[in-house]
Amino acid sequence: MFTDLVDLLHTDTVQGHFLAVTEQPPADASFVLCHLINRALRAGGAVRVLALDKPPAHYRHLCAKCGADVRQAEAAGALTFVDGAQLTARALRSDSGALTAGGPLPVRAVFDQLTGSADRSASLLVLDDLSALAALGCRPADLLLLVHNLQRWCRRRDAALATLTSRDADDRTLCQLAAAVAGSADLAVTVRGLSSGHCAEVTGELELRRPGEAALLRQFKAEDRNVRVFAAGTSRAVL
Amino acid sequence: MFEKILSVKPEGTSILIIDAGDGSYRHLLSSYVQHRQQQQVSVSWVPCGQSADELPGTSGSSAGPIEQSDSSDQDWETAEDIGRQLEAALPLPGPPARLLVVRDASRLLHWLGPTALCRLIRRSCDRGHQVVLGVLEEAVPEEHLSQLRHYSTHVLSVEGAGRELTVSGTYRFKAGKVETATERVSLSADLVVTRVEPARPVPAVPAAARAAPAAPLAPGLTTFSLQLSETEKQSRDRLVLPYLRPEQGGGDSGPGTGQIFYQPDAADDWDEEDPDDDLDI
Repeated sequence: MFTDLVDLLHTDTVQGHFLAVTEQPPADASFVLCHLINRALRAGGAVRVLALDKPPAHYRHLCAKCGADVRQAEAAGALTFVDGAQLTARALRSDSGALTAGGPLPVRAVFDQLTGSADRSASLLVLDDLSALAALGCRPADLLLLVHNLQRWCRRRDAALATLTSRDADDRTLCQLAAAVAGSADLAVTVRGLSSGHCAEVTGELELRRPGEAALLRQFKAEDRNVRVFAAGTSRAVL
Repeated sequence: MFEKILSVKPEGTSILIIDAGDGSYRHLLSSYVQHRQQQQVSVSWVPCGQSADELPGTSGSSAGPIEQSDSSDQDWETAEDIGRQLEAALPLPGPPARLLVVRDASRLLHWLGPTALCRLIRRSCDRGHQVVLGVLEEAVPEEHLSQLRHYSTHVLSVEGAGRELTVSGTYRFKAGKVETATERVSLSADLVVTRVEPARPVPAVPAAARAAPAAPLAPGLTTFSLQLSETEKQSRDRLVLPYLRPEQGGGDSGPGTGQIFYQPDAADDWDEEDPDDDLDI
């Protein structure tokens, strides 16, 4: 499952690394995070996912389609979802229980929920996604601080960190945030659609960039239970 | 020009390396630091998220309090903590001159603002040390970058991937001379500068290579005629265009002889006076 992605991302050696995934609408990069989650579960590690942009049911469904036993993993504590919507509601409620209008979501609360005070064995932290936190009023500086501290936390425990940022070309702040996060990552993955429009055989483009190296560009086709990755111009429609 | 900044005395100067988006500035920055280390210059790295052992060349550098931040028990670091670490990393005045390296100033700009970094540059240079900063152009607001450019002695903009880089630099030397140059810099596998040459400008297409006017099509290639017969050409030449006055001599006026004739109607408020006459310029 996702064997092409395994070869491309070298996900066998991501412990202690930081993968920054950027999606350019209308592309959807959920499959990259799903792949990382499945790989970590197969390796016997524990995964914590902050699902803010998409509900935990989305990831449960995707991971189950790719062969992971999500229920068993959750029952065993290997897979933990932090519901971002509930976290946001809790953080924005006043002491009386009413929702307060002002103030952004405190990123320290996100950090505490994701790292978890009692669980020190997590091998993968997934943060989906930073753009949603920005939409809730978090400044880019606070989000970069959150990523920085998550990196430090993961490095000490030899865990991997994966973040997702949705980069809207019309929002300069989001573009700067995505570039800053990708610039600090060990591997930056960008998922975008084709510039020429919709194609039945090619879903979009994958760009992989490691610091100081030339970008590797591939195209991919998202199927029901798999993602095929191939060099540009070598899709089944052409060959 | 890039070789010049490798050879001149670096004390009291700063270099800002701006990456155009390929992430290749790190090679150039590491190459420069390696060059200084070979000259027995002490290097202090300012980590910006990575651990101390991930920083290149740390074996030859002296460890300061900032490199020990990872070993603290504190799980959450605030921007103020990072600012204090930056202050602590500032070398003391006096010889020997040190090199302070800020590998990724993009995030520091967001956390601390450009004022703190500019202050760091100025204070380090006043104390006789050198500062090298790397920043991603896409990751910071342009107004922050312009402030850093203003405070930096040399500003290098790096493009390209791998070890073949195009460096566009603005170099300010102590005599007050400012020079700009665009060069191709080649680095070896161990980040040693192997070649620096001026970047070749894109050659202009010579006039002779421009496409010649299309030759007339050979007859019989199409079922319809694309060419004019002699009779049709004469008829076209004799045609008088309706918007040209008869005294202009038809449509064969040369360049610069066109005029605009405006006939105001009854509704127009035609004023012969110069509308800008009341301006006191």
